[in-house]
Amino acid sequence: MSLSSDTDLVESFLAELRRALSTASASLQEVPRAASGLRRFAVPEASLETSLTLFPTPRSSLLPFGEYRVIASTKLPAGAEEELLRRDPGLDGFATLGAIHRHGRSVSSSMLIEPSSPGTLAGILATSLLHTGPSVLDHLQRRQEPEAPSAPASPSAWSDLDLAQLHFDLGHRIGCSLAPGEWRQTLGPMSLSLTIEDHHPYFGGGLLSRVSVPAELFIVDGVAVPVPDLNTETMLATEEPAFGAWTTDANGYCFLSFLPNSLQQLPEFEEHWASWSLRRAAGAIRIAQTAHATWLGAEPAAEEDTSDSRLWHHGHSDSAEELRPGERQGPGFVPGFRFPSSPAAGEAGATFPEGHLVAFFLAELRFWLQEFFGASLKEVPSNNPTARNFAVPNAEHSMTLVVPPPSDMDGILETECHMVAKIMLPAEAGKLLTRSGRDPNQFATLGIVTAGAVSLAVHGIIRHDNLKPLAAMTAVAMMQAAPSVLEFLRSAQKPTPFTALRRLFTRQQEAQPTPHSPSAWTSRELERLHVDNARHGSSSLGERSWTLRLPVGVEVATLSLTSIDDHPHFGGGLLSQLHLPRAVLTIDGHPVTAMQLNGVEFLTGEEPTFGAWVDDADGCSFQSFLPNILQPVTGFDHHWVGWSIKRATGAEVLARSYRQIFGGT
Amino acid sequence: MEVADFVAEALAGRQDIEPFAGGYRHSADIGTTTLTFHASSGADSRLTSIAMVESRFTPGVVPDFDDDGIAWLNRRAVFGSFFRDAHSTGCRATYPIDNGFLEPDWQARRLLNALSDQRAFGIAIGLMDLSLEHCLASRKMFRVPRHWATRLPSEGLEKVAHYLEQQFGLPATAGPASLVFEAPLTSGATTRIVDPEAETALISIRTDVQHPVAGVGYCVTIMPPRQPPSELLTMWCTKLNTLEHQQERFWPRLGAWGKRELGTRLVYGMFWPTDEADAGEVRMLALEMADRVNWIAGDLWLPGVGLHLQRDTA
Repeated sequence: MSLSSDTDLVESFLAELRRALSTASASLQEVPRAASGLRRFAVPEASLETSLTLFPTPRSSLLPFGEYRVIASTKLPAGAEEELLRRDPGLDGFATLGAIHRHGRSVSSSMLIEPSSPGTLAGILATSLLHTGPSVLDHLQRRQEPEAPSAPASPSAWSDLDLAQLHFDLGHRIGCSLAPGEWRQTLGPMSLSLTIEDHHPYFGGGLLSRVSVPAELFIVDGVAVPVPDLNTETMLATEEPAFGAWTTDANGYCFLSFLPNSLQQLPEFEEHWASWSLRRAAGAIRIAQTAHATWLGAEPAAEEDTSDSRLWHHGHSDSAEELRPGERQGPGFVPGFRFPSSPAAGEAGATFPEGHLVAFFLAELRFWLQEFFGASLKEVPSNNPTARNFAVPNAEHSMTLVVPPPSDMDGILETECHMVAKIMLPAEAGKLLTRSGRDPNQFATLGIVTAGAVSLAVHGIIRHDNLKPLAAMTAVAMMQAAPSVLEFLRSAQKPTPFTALRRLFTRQQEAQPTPHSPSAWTSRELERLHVDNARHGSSSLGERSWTLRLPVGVEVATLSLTSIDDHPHFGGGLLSQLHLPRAVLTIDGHPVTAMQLNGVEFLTGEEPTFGAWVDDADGCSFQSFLPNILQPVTGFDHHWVGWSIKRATGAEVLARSYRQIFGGT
Repeated sequence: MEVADFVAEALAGRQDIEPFAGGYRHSADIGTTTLTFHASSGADSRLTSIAMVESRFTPGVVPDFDDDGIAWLNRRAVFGSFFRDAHSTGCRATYPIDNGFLEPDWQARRLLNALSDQRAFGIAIGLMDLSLEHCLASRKMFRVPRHWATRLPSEGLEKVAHYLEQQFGLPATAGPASLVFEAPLTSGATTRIVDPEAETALISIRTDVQHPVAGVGYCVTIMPPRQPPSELLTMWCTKLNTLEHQQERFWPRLGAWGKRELGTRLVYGMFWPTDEADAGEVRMLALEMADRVNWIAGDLWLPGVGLHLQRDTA
C-alpha cells in the first residue's frame, strides 16, 4: 500500500472498512458534529447502537507518518450492565471480538490503522462492529435462560490442515506445536493457542484464540491487576489490534477472542492473527504494569462527571467514556480516579515517587559515574520505541544502557522497569578468547561475558527499594567489568579450568603485578552477615569467609562470600559464589548448563545479573566479584544476600524456563 | 553403477520421459521438467558431475509473480527454489553427484523424486495464495503421506545433538521431534541464548511440521540474526538462491531462501518429503545446514553488520 499522507492512510482504511461492511449490507456514516481532531462514525444497520471513533494517538505528531487509533463501540441495552457487573466483568470467559467496558454499558474493540494489513484489519473490524455487541447480549440472555437454543451448528471453517499450514509457515519459530484441533506457540511462560471450535453459542464455528499468562506475572506490587484495568489499558494503549478481552481462567489470565468462520477468507488472516497475538503475549507483563500503575484498580467516582474536563484533549464525544482518560495521560487527569501524589524529586525525606523511578535511577547512576570514574552519561537516539539508550562518552569500551522510554517516566507510575547494560568488548577480546579456549565467565567479575567475548552484559529490574545498590553496581560494571575481563583474557595463556580463581588464592606469578588492597569486608562485616542471615539456613563463619547453606527442595545450595585482597583487577573485595547442585538444575533428566543459565537469566531472571553462572564439579555456581567500592553502599550486603537467596530458590525455575523456552519440554 | 546409470535404468521405457544428450525431459501442458547432468570443473576429484532438476511452468498456469512474490513463495518451496526469468517462472534444484560419499542409488532416487514431483508441487504452491479455494484445492491435489511410516527412535535427535556439541562445539537441543542448534557466523560467536546479539544462525530440523502440500518430512530452517532491512529482503532472497545454485562443491540445493512472517523475515527453508525417518539423514541435514551457514559466514557476512554484498565473492 503506497500512501503519501496521513489522509491517504485514513481514507484508504475507511474505504476498506466500508467495503467489508458492505458485504454484510452495512455502511459507515460519518457523524458531522465530532470535535476537532476526532472523527466519529455510526453503523446504522447494526442491531445495537454502534459507533466508531477515529483519532490520532498522542505520539502521532512525533512520527513520520500519523498514527491513528480506531475504537469500535456498541452500547448495550439498559439493564445489561447490572447483569454484567453482578457476575463477572471478564464475561465469564465468553469469547468474542471485543471487551466489556468497565461500567458494563458498552463493548469495545480497538486497533491502530496499519498500512501493511488494511484488508485484514478492516474485515475483522467490520465483524466486530456488527457482531461483538449482539454476541455479548446473546451471552447475557443465555446466562439468564440456559436452555435457550444455541446458534445452529456450523463446523469450523478451519481444519487441522489449516493449522498444519500455519504450523509450517511458522515452523522456524521455536516453541510452536500442533495437536489435533489446536496450534500452540509458547513464549516463555506465556502461550498462544488457536483451537478449532464448532459450537460457539452465538457464532457457531470458528477459531478460539487464547493468549495465556500465568497469574503470578500479573501481580504487581503484590496486587493482582484487575481484569477491567487490563482491558482498558489494552483498548487504549496497545499497538496490537485488540479484538477480544482479558479474562481469567484456571491457569491465570488469558486474552480470549473468537474468530468466526467469515474471517478465514481475509488475506493471510492466521499469520496476522498469530503475529498480533504473539506480540500481545510478549508485551503482556508491560501491559499489566502499566495498567496497574495507570488505573490502580480505578473505580468511577460516585457522581459521574460528564463534563468535558474528564475527556481527553482531542475533544468530546457522546460515548467518550470509552476514550477516557486518553492514552498515556498524566496522573490526576480524570476526576474520581485515585492517583498518588508525586512529591518533588529529591525532596528530603520523601518516599520515592514510583513515577520517577527511572529518573532517580539515572540520577544515582550519573552520580556514581561522575564521582568515582569521572564519566558522564549521555542519552543517544534509539530506534526502539520501547527503549532509551545511553552511552558513556569517551569510554574505553562502548556501552549501552536500555531503560524504558520517557512516556513511562513522565506521568505513568511504573513500579519497576528493566535495565540492561551491554558493554562492548574490543575485538581483541574475541581473539584472546579463541587463543585461550577458556570460558571467560570463569573469571569473577560483575557481568556475563556473552558469546564470543563480543560484549559483557548486566541486567536488573529497577525497583524503588533497590535502585541505589543497582545503580552503584551498574556504574562499576559499566566502567570496570570490561577492563577486568580483558585483563583476565590477556593473562590467561591456555589456562587450566579455574586458573583465574586458583590464582586468586595461590598467588601464582603474574605477568602484571596484582593490585593489592585489603578487602573492605572485614571480619566485622562477615560476622554481621552471619548474624543477620542465620535464619535463612545453616550459617557458618570462617576467618575470612561466611557460608550459608540453604535448603532448595531436598537439595542444599551454598552461598560463600570470601574476603579477597588481591583480585587481579579489582584488588580487594568480596568473592561471591552461589553453588547449586546438579540435581536442582536437572529438568526432566536434562542437566541445564551454566551457559544455558546465563542465557535464560536475561530472558526470565528476576534477580540482578552482576556475575555469571559457571559450571563446576557438581553443578553450577553463580560467581561475582564485588569490589571494595561497593561495600559502603547502604544496605548493599543485605541486598546481595537477598538476591542470592532468591537466585538459589529460583534456580530450578530458571532451569525449567530454559527447558521450556529452548528445550522442547 | 553410478548415479546416472541408476537414473537411466529407472527411466528406461518411460513413454512420458524424453531423453536427450545430457539429460531427460518430462513435458506436459502445465510445464516442462528437465533433469540434466553437467560436468564438474574437476577441481574436486570426488565431484563427478552436477545434476539439476528444473521445472518451468507454462505461462498463465501460476500467477505472474514479481520478485517479492517469488521471495514469499519460496517459504514453501519443495525440491528447489522458485525463480523467474525472462522466459517463465520455475523451480530449480541442484545436486552435486559425489562418488564415494553417498550411495549412488540413494542419490538417484532423490533426483527421480524431484523429477517426478517438483513441477506439480511447485504449481500447487504457486496457486495457494490466490484464494482460500485455491489453497484448499492445492492441499487436496496430492495423496501424500500425512503420518510417518517410520519414526525416529526416541533418542535419535538427542544423539545428533550430542554429536554436534561434541564434534563441533555447536550448542544443540533436541526435543521429541525437533533438533535446534546454532552455527556461528562470526569467529567466536557461540549462542544467542547467552547473548541475543550473538551472530549465530539458528537452525531447526523438525519432524512434526507437515508441508501443506507435500505432507510429512523433514522441515529444516535457518534463521540468521541481524535481519536485512525490509526493503532489501527480496533482493537477498533472490541473491542467495542464485549464488547457491552457482556453487559447484556444495550440498544439494533443495531448499530456498524466502520471506516469512508476513514478509518481514529472511529464512532459509528446506522441506524434504519422506515418511521414513532416519537419524543418519538428520545428522546429514544438520551438517549440511551448518556448512551452509559457514558459506554465508565466509562469503557474505560482515560481523556487526550482517549480510553484506561486498563480501560477495561470487
